[in-house]
Formats: sequence, C-alpha cells, structure tokens
Amino acid sequence: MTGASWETAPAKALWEAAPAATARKAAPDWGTTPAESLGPLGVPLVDLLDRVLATGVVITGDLVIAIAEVPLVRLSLHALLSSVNERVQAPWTDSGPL
Amino acid sequence: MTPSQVPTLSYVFAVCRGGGPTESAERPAERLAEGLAELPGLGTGTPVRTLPAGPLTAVVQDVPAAGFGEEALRRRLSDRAELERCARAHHAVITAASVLAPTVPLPLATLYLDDRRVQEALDERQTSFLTALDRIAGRAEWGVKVYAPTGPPPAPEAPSTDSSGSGRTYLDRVRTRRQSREQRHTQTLRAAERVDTAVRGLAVAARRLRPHGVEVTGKHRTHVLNAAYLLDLGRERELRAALASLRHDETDIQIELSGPWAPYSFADAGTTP
Repeated sequence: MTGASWETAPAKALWEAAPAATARKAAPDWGTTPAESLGPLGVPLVDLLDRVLATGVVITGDLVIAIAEVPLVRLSLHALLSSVNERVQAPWTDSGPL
Repeated sequence: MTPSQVPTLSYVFAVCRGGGPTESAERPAERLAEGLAELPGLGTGTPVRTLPAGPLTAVVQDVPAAGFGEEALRRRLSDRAELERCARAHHAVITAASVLAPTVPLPLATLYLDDRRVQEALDERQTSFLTALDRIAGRAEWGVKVYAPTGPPPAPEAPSTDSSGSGRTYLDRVRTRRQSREQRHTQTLRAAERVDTAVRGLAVAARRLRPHGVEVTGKHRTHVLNAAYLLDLGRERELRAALASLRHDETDIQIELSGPWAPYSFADAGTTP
C-alpha cells in the first residue's frame, strides 16, 4: 500500500503525508522495530481504540474473567477513554498522530 | 522463552490458521513465525511467537505476570500514554500478522495464565475461529466516517432594519433558525445513509461503530457515521471511486476513509446473529 491508502480530510496533512518510517521514529520506543513495512502505524488513537477495544466477543481471556464476571477491563477502558476525551483534545489535533 | 524463574502470562494478539500437513507446501504457520519473530510486541524483551492449537495458530508473547497481572494491568491501561503504547504495539503485531496470513485480531489485553490455557480457549471456540477466518480471508476492513459541519446555518435572512424591536419577529427568527437546523440535521443523516448504502453495496459485511463525541471531533463538526466495512482485497479502487463520486454529490457532509485495517470489526463474524 502506498501512503495514499490512508486519507482523512482535515487530519490528512497531519498524518497521511508522514511516511511510515517517520511515524515509527516518532512512536514511543517499543524496542527495535524492524524496518519492513507494517502498514499504517500512524493511525489516530481513537480509530485504533474503536477497534482494539470494541472488537471481538470471539474469546475471553483468563485475566478478564479474573477481574470480574464481565469484561471489566474493557468497560473501564471505555470510561477512561471518554474521560480522557473530555479533558484532552484528540492527541493528533496539535501534535500529529503520534 | 523467558527464564522459568520469572512467572509469565501468555498475551494473545491474534489467531490464524495453522499449518497442518494438509496445508500447502508453503507452510504458512512457519512463514508467520518467521515474519513475527523480529517484532518487539509489547516490548517485554521476549519474542512474538506462534502457538499451534489444532487447526489454528495463536500469535502470542510471554509477558511478565508482575507487569501484566490483574492490578498491574489495570494501572497500566489507566495511564493514557501507556494505553496508547499498548494499543499501538498490539496493532503493530496484528498488522504484521495480517500481511502474512488471514488473521483474526483479538482485543487488547487478552491474557491467559499459560500457553495451555490459550490452546484450551482456542479449542473451545475452534468452529467460530475457523468461520471467522474463512470470512476474512482475502478481505480487509475499511473505515468510513461521515461528519456534518456544525457552523451557523447559511441563513440568508435579510437583516431587517429594526428586527430586534419586535418580540414576535425575534421569536419567528428563532423558530426559523431551529427549523432550518433540524432540516439540515435530517438532510445530513440521509446523506450519511446514502454513503452507507453505497459502500455496503461493495462490502461483504458492514458494522456500525460508535460515533465519536465532540471531544474528539471538535466543535466545528458532528460525527454522524462511523462504520466499518469488510471488502474483498480487489475492490479498493471501486471503493475509492464510489467515495469520490459521493464526495462530489454530497456537498453537505465530509467523508473520511481509513484503511486497509486488519479485520478488527469482523472478528466475531461467526458468533453474532
């Protein structure tokens, strides 16, 4: 995929144009990230959280069960997210996606 | 693997098909394992690896129980920066896997006490995983968001000379403004529905996500559609053409496309009604 596979209207200039390598350099240090293309890492956090949190009733992990009968981790994350959103602007509005 | 003295948990990123003897000579599971071995994953210093479970393969990483146990995990994910770091790390592994093989992403922080528990969990849901894998193979998720600008309506009301003089005139104006706002809102929703219908026509599955609030979108626009679509890989060009045409026709709304994503929103395709 080229950089053009990601597009948004207003946020576009902020993150679509950034090549993956730049995005990765700006990313928090996760250790040694390999150079190969991993797809779009400079994804807006809300879009990512929409997916990594809300996804999937396919499986339930031991820990999620251990915390409560319901997936409390995920519930509290939703609460956290909305409280974050109340206080802080989306992270990329001022400083880019990462 | 980690030294056995350090208690670990098994963090599961995703589930792929395994490379049993009936698979092709390409040995997809091995290819997957090789492709993931270099990834930092959650940055715990242990390799991202594959774990066979019958016809399935889990993409896992050992994480220290001390850092990912119940309380530690709660603390970790309550910290905004750490939440973002984990979400991006999770996404990086899933994206890498989905480049190599059809991949069912699992939610952030899906943790098991050990590998055996992972295998048991996969065995239990084997059929729904296989169904989901069939469904997402050769397909990708695309996100389409529709926004409506919230600026003042283009009210062409003539600024009559002594408009504020009469209470009745004032009330009329308020009512007119409200009606036009409601009308615009209805138009916007209809436009969003037309977008959804058009993209749905190209997709094999669709799902509505929660629209974002004003904290995310900013005051200048309202999020009216947040949808995910599962499309065959060859249809990206059609999708882009359809959106270009919609953008041309639907001038009252902003349409944003994101993707291709690993099929996050369609992982449970086999289990939802």
